[in-house]
Amino acid sequence: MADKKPTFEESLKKLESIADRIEQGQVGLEESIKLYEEGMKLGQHCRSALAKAEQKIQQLQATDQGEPQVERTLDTQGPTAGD
Amino acid sequence: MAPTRDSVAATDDQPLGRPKRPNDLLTVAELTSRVREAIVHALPATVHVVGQVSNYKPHSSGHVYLTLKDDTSELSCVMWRSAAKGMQFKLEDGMEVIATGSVDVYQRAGRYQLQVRRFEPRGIGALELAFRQLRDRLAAEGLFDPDHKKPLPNYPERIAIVTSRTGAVVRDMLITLKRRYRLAQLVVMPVRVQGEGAAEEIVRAIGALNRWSVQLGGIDVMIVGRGGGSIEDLWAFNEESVARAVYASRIPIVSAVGHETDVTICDLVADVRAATPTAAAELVVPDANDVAATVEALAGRLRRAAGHRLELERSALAGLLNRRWWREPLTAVRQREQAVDETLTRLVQQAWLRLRETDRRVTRAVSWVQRIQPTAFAAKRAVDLNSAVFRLRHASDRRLREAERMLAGADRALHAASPVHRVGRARDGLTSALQRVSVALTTSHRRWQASLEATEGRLQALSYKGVLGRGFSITRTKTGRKVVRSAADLSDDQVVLTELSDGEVESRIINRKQLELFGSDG
Repeated sequence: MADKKPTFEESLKKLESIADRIEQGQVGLEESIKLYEEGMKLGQHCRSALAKAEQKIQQLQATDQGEPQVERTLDTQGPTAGD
Repeated sequence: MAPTRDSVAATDDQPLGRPKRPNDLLTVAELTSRVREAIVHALPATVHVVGQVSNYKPHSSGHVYLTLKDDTSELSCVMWRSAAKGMQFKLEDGMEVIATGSVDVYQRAGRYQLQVRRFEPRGIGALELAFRQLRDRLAAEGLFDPDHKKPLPNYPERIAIVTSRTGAVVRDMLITLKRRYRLAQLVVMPVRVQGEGAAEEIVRAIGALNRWSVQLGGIDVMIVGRGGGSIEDLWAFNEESVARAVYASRIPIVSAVGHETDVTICDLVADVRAATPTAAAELVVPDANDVAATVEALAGRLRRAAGHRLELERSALAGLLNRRWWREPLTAVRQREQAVDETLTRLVQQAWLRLRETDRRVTRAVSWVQRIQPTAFAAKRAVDLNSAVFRLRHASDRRLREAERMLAGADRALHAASPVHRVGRARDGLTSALQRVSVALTTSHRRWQASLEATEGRLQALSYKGVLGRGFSITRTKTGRKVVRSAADLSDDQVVLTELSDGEVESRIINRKQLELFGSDG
């Protein structure tokens, strides 16, 4: 939990704040270049996350006692498969 | 009916050996019993009565007592605990209702009453009334407060869906979510959405998802709903227990029950109400195409901002390079050279000034020596002095020349060091050289000035001590040590000191007249 990789939203927010900071000229030239590179990497990360995303669907068992029980996991092949 | 009653009375009377009573004499119980039978037989097993509720009294036993009335009559009513438990809405005095039940007689009080199995509000359905009542109560409690509503995440990572496992609803939602935003993981929690136990399952599912959120990787938003149906079908979503579970959920909930026109309590408590389940799916995720466009827009902004920034720096640099300093770097060097020259000139001037002063004093000393007709010793001292002065002058000349040489060297070094950054270092070197020269000059100047002053002192002493040796003396007053030049300076009994060549005597004035005579004589 503690060392989770950044979520899509976090990456997007960071990209936005980097663009803001460079636009407002709050940072030095070298820092700007560093931030630019980081921002471009984030943009690439977001792009590929969107392109490669495969929706995972877990169906839990109706019983809700104790731990969650995954009855089955579906992928993007089709949520209706098996219905 | 009548024959039956007669036969009952006949059989009652005959066999008992009690005191004889008239045939029509009845006990209270007998009459009441007959009335009860008559009523029960006369009325259908089930009656529907319209009236207004009054004297509504729910008893702690669970039975409910009330009176139904209209403009002219009143009817006692009772609803037993078992039936009262099934009431969907709450009775209130003044409410127009239809009571369904059977008429019976309460023998103990001799009162007939309607035993109500079911009440229905008149004008609207019972469920509708129940809905309104619960809505008003929960609203008063603050369950629908906008302040309590949680915002939905913009980019959910994990979405839970609480709905029926069968039916088009779950399929439509999954298709919509897949079409719009595959980044989100979905967790489906199947529940019954209508009929007995549906509300309990929904409540349990909402609670379980909140408890399991962390284990499932963090659920960002939950959709609770079902497809369209009658008000009875949707009823589970109007249950108070569901409303409270939705309110208590830490995970934001989108309620999507039935069609657009169906509004349930669950919709009102939820953080967001969606008109339909498909609308809910569209509501909880962004469209991936829009998100991609946002990413591209941000990347573009970043590129432009960075490009703009570089352009700014470039033009700032060009502006700097265009300044005079860069175009004519020697100007600054020249300016520093000039400052050095000025310092040098001042230094030399000062040195010459001091030398001239020394020269003047030596010349004065020599003239004193000549004036007091020096003895051979004094003459020798004068010669010594002259040679000392000559040596001093020579030495200081040498030092000055040395300093000038050093300065010239520094000057040359400065000129040779054309790159601007060396100027500072050259200047520092020069400054310290100048300081050294200045200190050296000052020190030597002080030294020979002291020696000169000593010589001068001795010369001045020589000038009159020689005279004392020849028999002259000097008389001074004892107080003030003032040289006595005239008898008029003294008074009788005054003490004077007389300096001789080998000492000093102290005397007192006895006769001034003689002195006056002596003075006038001389």
